Amino acid sequence: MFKLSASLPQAGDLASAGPDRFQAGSGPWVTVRFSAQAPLRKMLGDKWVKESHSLTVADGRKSMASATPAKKAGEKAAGKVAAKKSAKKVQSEAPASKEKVSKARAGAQDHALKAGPARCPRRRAARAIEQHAVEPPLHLICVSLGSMVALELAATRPDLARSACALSTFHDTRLRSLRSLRFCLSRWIPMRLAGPNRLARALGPRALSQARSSRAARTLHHRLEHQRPAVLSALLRRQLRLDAQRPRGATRLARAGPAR
Amino acid sequence: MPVLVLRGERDYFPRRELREFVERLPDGRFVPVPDAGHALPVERPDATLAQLLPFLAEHDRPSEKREV
Repeated sequence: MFKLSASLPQAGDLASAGPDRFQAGSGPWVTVRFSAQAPLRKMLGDKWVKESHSLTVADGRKSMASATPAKKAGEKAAGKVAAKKSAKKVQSEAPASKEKVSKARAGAQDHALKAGPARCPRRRAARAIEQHAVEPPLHLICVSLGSMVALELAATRPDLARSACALSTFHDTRLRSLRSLRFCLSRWIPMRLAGPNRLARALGPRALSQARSSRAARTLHHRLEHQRPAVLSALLRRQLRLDAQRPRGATRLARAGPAR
Repeated sequence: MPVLVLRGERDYFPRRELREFVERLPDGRFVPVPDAGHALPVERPDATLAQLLPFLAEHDRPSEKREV
């Protein structure tokens, strides 16, 4: 079956010419019967597959966007209107008070964020799992950023999975506090700039796995805890430069230990 | 939904907020793993499995509530 729009008249013509092979009703769906003996023309098949796919995907996106109940959409609209009204009211009552207006706008944004469809990728992933939930029992085991999806599901739809294991997860930084966001950024930006491989090279061969015994890793860990991102980036860059200048053959020999 | 949260003690993400969040869950369990950072399953696979497998076994069979 194909879902067609632009090619629907063509499908109608084919259906009237060969009703045993093509069936087109009043809707967008067209049924085609073909076999090895009576194949479908390749050009036609390709064109219809693309068209049907684009239409189906567009419908899927619409349904994903409207996955939250209509009530919530209504609430969102009502929330926006109410917040705008409150912002206008604040403006009319105290025109000089910019703080109040910004607070009202922030309140409106918060309300829209809570009531609106899932914009955050983590929430979208959680909604997708909701929609395509496999048959239970289902155990979710997620690591790092993926574990936030598990926590999102655990908080919003606890009935979907039997259990959730979140490894090395972290708390939601988007909704909670700027402090947490700043904290994560100050650690992630230098790590991202350096990249895990370069960072591991800068720290030494076994630094990441034996961080306790590695003085360099301990130092870096301390710096990650206490330094600002700009300082950290400079330190990492310096460390990488020093590492690049070090003769590698000598390092390898030293790491390999005494010859037997 | 029972939730197990494993966190390396040397993980660079803040522990306090995560712990508070897990405590808000009706069936959340927070387990810190010593001598591990953010790459917990890589750094301490034995400790990770030691926590993970009993948890999964515990919740693999349907509980009384589910049967009702």
